[in-house]
Amino acid sequence: VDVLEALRGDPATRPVPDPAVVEAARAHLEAAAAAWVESVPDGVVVRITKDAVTGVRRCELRHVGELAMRADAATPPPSPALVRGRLLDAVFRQVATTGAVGADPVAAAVAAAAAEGDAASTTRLGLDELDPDDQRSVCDDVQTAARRLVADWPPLPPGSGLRIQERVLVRLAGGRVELSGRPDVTVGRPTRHRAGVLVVEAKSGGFRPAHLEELRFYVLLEALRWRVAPFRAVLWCLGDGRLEAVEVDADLVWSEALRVADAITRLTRLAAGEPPRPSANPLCPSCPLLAGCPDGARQVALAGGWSPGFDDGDEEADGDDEGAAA
Amino acid sequence: VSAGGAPVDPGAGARTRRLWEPPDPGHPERVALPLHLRPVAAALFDHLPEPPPAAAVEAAMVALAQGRDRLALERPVGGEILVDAYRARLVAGCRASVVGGGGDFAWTPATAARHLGLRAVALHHSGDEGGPQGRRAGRAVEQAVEVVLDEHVRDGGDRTPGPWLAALDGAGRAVARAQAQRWAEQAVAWLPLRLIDRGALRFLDDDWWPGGPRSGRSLVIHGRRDLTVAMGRRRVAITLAGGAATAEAVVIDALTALAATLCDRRGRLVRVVRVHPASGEVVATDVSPALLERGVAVVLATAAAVVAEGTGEAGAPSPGPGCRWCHHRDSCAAGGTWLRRPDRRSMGLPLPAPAAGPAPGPGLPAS
Repeated sequence: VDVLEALRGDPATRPVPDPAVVEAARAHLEAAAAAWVESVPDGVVVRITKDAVTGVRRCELRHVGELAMRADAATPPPSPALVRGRLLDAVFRQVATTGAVGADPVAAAVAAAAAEGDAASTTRLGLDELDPDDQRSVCDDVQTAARRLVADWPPLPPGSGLRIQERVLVRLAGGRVELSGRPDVTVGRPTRHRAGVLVVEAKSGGFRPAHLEELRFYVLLEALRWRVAPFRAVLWCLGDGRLEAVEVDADLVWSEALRVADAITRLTRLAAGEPPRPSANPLCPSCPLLAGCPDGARQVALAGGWSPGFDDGDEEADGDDEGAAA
Repeated sequence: VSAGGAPVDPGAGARTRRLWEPPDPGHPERVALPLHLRPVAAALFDHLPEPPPAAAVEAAMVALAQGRDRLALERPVGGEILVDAYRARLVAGCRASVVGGGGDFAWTPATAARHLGLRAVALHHSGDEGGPQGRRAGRAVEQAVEVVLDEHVRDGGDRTPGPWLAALDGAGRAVARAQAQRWAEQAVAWLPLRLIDRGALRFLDDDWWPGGPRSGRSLVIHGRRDLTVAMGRRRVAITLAGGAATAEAVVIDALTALAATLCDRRGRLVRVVRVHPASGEVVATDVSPALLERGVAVVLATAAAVVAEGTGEAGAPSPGPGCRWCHHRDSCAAGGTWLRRPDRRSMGLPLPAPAAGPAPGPGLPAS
């Protein structure tokens, strides 16, 4: 796969900036935020991440229930997928910035995390908390992915405007609602004549359609921030090497604005104290609230007890849910 | 004037030197700006007000001196009281957060990145006017970051991240370089520097106002401007800020305006501009007598909190959003209670509190 080709696309077809569609998207999001925000208690800022958008639109009841369970439970030990994601995040940052990583990418990732003040570096980003078999497996995965990264990531020219995991915040309703995201890599900036920003999201595992929704969320954030939509968004799955490129046009920006506006309405309504509404969906079999949820039980019965076979939670560490001080 | 005393037409061949003027909104360069830079350009150039009157500057100085003396009478502690943006912001959120050295500045990758990144932009921007090193670095921000990093490690110096950088290993320096690079890229991407006369730019301006030795102590105000643009006799100060614009950041604007005005004594600073690249927000505040008064209030409140900390009197905690990243987060009972309150947590927020309630920390009264 020619990664540079996938990142660049066809420069001749890059869209010209269309501020009207971005302004319309912002106006629509503001209207969605205004609907319930007056009822949200003072001092509460509704911060909306990509996971919150996906979760609340799937089922409000499960979204709220899982948040409450996470609040009550002790912090669970990290899973191998989470540790792999953390390590690869650090490796990816290093490769994208310098084009190389040391002979031991795990050690390099831990050293970089320690220098950044990441508390998890004391346990080697959670690696020490895994059992020996999982440790070996994770280290092998990181080695393989690091080799792929170094071989395939194209060295970008100086002045390309490379930004690694830069937080993007969009305030709505006078700051009472915040859209927050941290795309892995963004490149370039808009010029007067054409869209110039590229969004790249790297995943340590294999491809899943839900990743494309995350990518579209980042596209919307970047569009609102620069007042011009990106020209392209690319998903790079290091687990299976799959590369998905999405051309950004006005339809994509607008449809994503509609999706996020729906999530804003739901999340502000919940923050205002309204009860969550259940929505039966194909992931009900893996829901921890299934036992007490008639809608979910009906869904499972209708599906013949079918289970999707994977958990919908994305355990890769992408930093979006970190505190605002990060 | 010609040798014979007759006026000379300043036409072809005549070289005139005139003060640089800001481009008007219809200037071709401004029209050609990318969309995201137009609000910054407007905040920099449009409708610049007159500086605050001398009487307002004088009133601010008198109010500060009186406040400092009052503080000295109430709490007789010797030594210098330093009020800087870091402490002011902490105190504006919660007076107790300065307890235990929380108000002491320490270099971190984040704070060093701002310093290095903006110095690198200055070097990058010096381009043709700098020395041989400046010319080389002017070609690429990456090279400028490298040069600045090396200079800091080699030269060190107070109030620079040099000594901190020198203590880092190779991996740590790579992180510092990458983050500085990000700051530099942000500055290049979000400041319409090509509209600004190079000679009118000053990066990372420090403003120190020593309060004077009256009553045996001094009150020192430290403000910092990332970039100052001089337009004739007027000045505009720009700060690049992280995250989104919040109400607390107004404290920094007031402190910057006050420090710059008092240092200068001539009141040439007419506007402070905050640019938030993460959110694309641009907040412009004109320097007015009211803003100077606000700055005086910020300085005195911060000084009172710092003095109280020095005498061992802990201020009552004021729990709020700042609790999420306060260094007393794990030991402050009031902050822990605030963080655990479910109605303070938005549905999209991370879960900030540990399962077990934190124990009250020393010196911080529970509320």
